[in-house]
Amino acid sequence: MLNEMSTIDFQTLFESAPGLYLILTPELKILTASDSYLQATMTKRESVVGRHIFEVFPDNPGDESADGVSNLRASLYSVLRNRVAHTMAVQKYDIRRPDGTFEVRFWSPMNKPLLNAQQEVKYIIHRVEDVTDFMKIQNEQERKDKIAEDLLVRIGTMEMEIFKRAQEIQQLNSNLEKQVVARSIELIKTEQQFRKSLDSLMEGIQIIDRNWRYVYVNDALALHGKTTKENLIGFTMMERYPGIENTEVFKTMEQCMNDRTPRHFENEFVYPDKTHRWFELSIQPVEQGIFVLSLDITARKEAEEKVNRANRLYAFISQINQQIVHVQDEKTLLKNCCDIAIEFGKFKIAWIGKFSERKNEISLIEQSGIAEKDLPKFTPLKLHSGGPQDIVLKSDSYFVCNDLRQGDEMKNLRDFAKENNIRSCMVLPIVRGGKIVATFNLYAGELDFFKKEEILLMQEVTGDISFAMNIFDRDEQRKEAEKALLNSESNLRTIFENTTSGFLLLDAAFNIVSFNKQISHFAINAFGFDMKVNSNFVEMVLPERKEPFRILLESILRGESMYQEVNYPDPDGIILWYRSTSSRILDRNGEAVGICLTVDNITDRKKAEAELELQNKELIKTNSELDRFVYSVSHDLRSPLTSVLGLVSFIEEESKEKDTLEHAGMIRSRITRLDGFIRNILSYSRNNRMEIVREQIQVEKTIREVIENLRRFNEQNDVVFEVDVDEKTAFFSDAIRMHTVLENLISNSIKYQDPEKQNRWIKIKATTSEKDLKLEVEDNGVGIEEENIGKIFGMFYRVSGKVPGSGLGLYIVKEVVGKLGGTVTCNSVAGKGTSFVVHIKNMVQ
Amino acid sequence: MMTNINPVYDLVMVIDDTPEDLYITNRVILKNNFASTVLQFSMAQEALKYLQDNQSAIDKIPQIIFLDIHMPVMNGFEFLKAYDRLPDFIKQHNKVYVISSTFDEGDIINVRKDKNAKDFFEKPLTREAMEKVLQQKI
Repeated sequence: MLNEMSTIDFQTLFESAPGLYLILTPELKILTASDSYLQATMTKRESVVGRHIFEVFPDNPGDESADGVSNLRASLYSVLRNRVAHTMAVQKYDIRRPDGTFEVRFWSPMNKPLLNAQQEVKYIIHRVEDVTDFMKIQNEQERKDKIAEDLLVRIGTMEMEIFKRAQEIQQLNSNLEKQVVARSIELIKTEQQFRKSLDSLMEGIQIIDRNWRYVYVNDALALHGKTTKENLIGFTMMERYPGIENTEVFKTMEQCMNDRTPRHFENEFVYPDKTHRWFELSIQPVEQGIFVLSLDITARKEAEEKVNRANRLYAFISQINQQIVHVQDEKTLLKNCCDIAIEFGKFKIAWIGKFSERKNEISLIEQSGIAEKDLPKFTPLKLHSGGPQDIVLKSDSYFVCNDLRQGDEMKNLRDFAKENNIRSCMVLPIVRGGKIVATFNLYAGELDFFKKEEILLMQEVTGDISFAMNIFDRDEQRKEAEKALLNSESNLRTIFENTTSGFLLLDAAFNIVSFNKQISHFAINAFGFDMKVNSNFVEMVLPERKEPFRILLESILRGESMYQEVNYPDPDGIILWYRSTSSRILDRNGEAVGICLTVDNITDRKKAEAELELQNKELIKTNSELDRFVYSVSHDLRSPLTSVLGLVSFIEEESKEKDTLEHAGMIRSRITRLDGFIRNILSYSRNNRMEIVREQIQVEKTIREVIENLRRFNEQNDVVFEVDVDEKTAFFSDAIRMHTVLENLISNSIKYQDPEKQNRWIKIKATTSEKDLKLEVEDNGVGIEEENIGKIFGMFYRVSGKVPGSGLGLYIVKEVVGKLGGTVTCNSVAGKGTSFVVHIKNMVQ
Repeated sequence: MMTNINPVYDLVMVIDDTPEDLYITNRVILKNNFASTVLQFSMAQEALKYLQDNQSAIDKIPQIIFLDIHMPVMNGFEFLKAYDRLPDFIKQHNKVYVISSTFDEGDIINVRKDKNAKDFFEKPLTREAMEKVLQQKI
């Protein structure tokens, strides 16, 4: 045995081992590396041997967080120091490509010391596993997150109800993801355990001679074979494992034995006790026969399987969730669910069956994967007591069978299952309105497919489907409510037909949806056509009016409101007036779905309006005639007055007669009074008559002119005027009216001076602004009794008979200021004085 | 000034369709020694004709014209328009003052705007008004 052993080229064996090995000296120089290692790290043996490990495998300079070197160094030092194996956590240790760039890699390294007789470290075996692909599976998680995000974005654009639905789904998704994360963590743990067990087991090694006799086996292999070295060495494989010559493994070994080329593959080994284990096998031809390295990869295989299955189911549930969000009808949703189960869930068959009214039958409504010829078996399917659907119905829960070869429940399905390679199945209830109405039936090709997690996932999927169904039900209920509304429409119709208004309903394409008889009368009168439901309104009008009419309707659809008054002769030739108003009809989403047009016969109102307008015109005419009359009469009256005044002044100058002079004085007084009256009437009539002429007003200049004019014709010339004007802002108004206002206010102040007072004054203050002119005329005259202040702006109101006046002055001021867009107010204390505050709008354009 | 024995102006023209007003104005002028001679016209077109006819005799052209506004056939404004077309030496020789019983601001503003109308006085013509004319002479 030893002799045989010595002929074995262990270095070759080591170098061709499937594992990723590096043998280091205590100085961390590379002694050698396995082919796999060289291949995985993209290096050549001759370029690494003899060099320091970190010289060959430096950190990726492009990755600032790279800590592979320091971690590895720490681990190697720990091995040198403690002389026991050290397993490192998964490392990101990027590999330098021959071209100098780096490739992202994740590794699971383990360093083990080889001790000499003195228990000193002779070598370090650095063994790594490239777990990049495994880490990529983890990264998948991020991709899944992105899918969820995309989903959310899409949802955002959907209507509220869908949004709510989606949110609930989102919740489900997030729960789902939590589970996937949890599972991934669990996987990592398994992976780590698997590393540890590998660590202790290492590879099984067997050397088999050309007669299929075990020449050498190590402990690990014996352990793999659940036997002992002694039990194997010296025996043939066929002796130990009868029937092995019929297996794929044996056939591959045989090939290697014959053609002398290495083989590398994975194999599931079934033990006599029916348990399974997965091995990675590396078969090398050696002198004696073949050399077989075997690595137990059962844990990894199972983990991979689990991840694959989880991914599969995740894709499945994610697809279904998207369907729920997008699909609006039940049939399509259910059909798609079945299809997705096949396409993404990789189930063999998926079907949805609906329970009959009496729950004694179940009928297939949608399916995927069932052969045409088998369909009749499902429509309907008698529910037999104790069958899966029956169990679901009675237990109000799901049913799982992980091996269809066993269990009474499945006996009816057994033949069908065999024919279709179905090995496990699950039946889930679809709940609608709180009751199980259907089942989702999933048939898988694998044994033991439905484990705890899978069951949970499938329950979620079915929950989602049930949820969607309930949403459809709600939609259905809404539709029914709408239908009920339609029924009550007959009542509305009565109102509709008997109202005096004409109603016309158009859809968005201007087709007539509905109308009442009033509007059809109108249409006959106005357009000369009979209206018909479903005909296009635009097409009915005269060809030359179509385009403007369409444009008008389109603008209404866009939200413009339309109001028109139109007239058309009735058959007797009498002109009838109609008022037509339109508005658009919006649906729940604010989309314009049609137009409502109403037409009212307003002939009576129009007649009344026309009469009123005529009356108004007449009234305006009368008024203006009256104005002109007043104007010319005043003028004609005034002219002789001035003559009389001229003549009176001759008498006053020339007569020496006391009585004559006195009489002449009285004539002058009466004439002056009459003159003032006529002046006022004139300016009043002028205010009404004349358009406003806007121009810039020199406020101070105007005030001074008015004062100057008034001084000339008044006796009380001893009044002191104070004028304070701030007109930095240009002021625009009607000059003549401004003049009238100033003249009346100032002349009032002059007239009502208090003869008792020594210092009589009138203060005029004016300030211009963008908005207006503020004018204050204040005096220390006799003032106005409080109870009279309210009356002073009235027509023909006079405070005292003693003071000459027409009683029109302030009335005119109020009227004129009003016309100029302003206000006038008065403050006065009897015996103290009076102040008028006027605001006149600045007509700056 | 007007109390002087010698009248201020030699020749003053008054145009007014109202005989009483013509009389009053004439009398006020003379009484106040404002002018030695008053040319009285009750129709504006005749006054204009007089001015046109006497272009060559500058001593017959009045130094001051008192013009009424509201008159039939040719009113004061129409007269001012026609007056504007007179030769400059005529216009430089005299000044037109508008006297009227109007207090229609529109009229007054039009008068103020007219370059040939020196001022506006309310009827009846007063001594104060004539004094103002004198001041404007200086």
